[in-house]
Amino acid sequence: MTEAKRVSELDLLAYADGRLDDDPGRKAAVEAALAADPEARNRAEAFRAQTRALRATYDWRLTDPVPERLTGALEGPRRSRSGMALRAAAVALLTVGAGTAGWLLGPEIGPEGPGPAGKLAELSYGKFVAGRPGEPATTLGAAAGTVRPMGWLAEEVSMRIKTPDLSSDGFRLVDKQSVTADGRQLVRLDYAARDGRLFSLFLAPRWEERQAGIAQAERDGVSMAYWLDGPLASTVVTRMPPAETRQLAEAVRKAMHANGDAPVVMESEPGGGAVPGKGLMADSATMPAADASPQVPQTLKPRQRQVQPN
Amino acid sequence: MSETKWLIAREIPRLRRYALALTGDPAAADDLVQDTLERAIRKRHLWRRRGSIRAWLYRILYNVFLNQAGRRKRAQAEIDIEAAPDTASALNERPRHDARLVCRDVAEAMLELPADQRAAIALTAVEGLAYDEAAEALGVPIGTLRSRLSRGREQLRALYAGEGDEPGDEQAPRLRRVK
Repeated sequence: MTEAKRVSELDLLAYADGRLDDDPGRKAAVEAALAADPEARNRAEAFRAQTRALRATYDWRLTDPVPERLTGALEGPRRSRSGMALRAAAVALLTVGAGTAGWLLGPEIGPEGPGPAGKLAELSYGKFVAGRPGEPATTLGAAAGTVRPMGWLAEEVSMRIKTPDLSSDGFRLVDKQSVTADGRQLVRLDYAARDGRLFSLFLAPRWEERQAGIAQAERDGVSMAYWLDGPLASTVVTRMPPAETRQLAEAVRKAMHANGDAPVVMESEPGGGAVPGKGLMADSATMPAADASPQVPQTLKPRQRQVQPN
Repeated sequence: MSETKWLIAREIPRLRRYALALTGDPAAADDLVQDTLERAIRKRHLWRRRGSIRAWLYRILYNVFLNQAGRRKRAQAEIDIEAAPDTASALNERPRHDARLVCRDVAEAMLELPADQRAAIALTAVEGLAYDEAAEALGVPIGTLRSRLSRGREQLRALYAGEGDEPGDEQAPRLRRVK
């Protein structure tokens, strides 16, 4: 044990990392000390096994072809990202109108008449111009007799739905309402940024099958981006420029798909930051405290693509 | 391409490996590297050629990583809860092991560690930095690095059952719930 005590922690770690290979004298001294201390020897062997496993796990990255966006980052402005694209300061460069489904909408809604998402956009427009985000709600819960608009929506579409968390994009949820338009019930979520930018997200059960894709429309300075996802129709409505609206819509959509193909996964408390939840609806009467979520061992996590938290 | 850019470009593969060890996710790792490179280019006048550009880049990357930690945590917390039941049942089929504690591979075990310990291990064991370089890259004294390495390695030992190190009989008492 006397010998073992002469092995410092750094010696042990250096030995495990192979750093003593070019210092035979020190290495021999460490090995002699370890021979007299089974516990230290076990630790050293475990550390060496870790080092081997770590290198075997990550070394492939060295020979993996470097994506162009990384080499491009040395030359100029931001290129595309794998995660959420929106940044509060990033506006510009996006085309207006073309969704992935090929819709190209002009200043009015729908070249073929409003589809389900277009219909929602039309109704959303009316609601948006009738009451700006941040203003007191006039229809909260009244239409459907519910004060849990997201809960109602989740029941309608038979899947868990929570409010998208856009705090990483500079927006926080400031209001949440159930509204009716043309006899249909919608959920309206109002978001605001510190710099005064506002937008509203309208959600509704989709009314018919229709292809997906973000489409856009603009009317009287109000810009809309709308799309279908599974049983949901969604519309972002704002007075921000169309390009920024488009970015917002993509950010919202990605936030709603943060866990692969699963529906919305983030929930936020109006007026506050994102709150990790435990499967409660975002508009549950009692929101879980931020520190109330259970500590789930990370070993239980699936591998996932990270939602870029920038 | 300027000389500094050229030097930075040469480090991209290593940065990608380091970022992967930190994030555990290839796509997120590349986003992290992209942010790092953009910041490095903007701040390249601050690199005064006194130390290695590699350590300087590692330091930027770690700082960017820490800055993003809160949001990353929130996103992960949601996914944990959704995924827990199925994965837990699968792990419970493993005999003798505490299913919640033993990781299936070392990458998962790494993600269990606090970020500072993970970074210390990644820089030394994976990136091969000398201890003084790693301490510089993390912006801490070497004593702090030693402490992080020691605690991280021990925790990794408890969490990760490597080949020939099955956490059965004699290893079991060391297993402990993390956090």
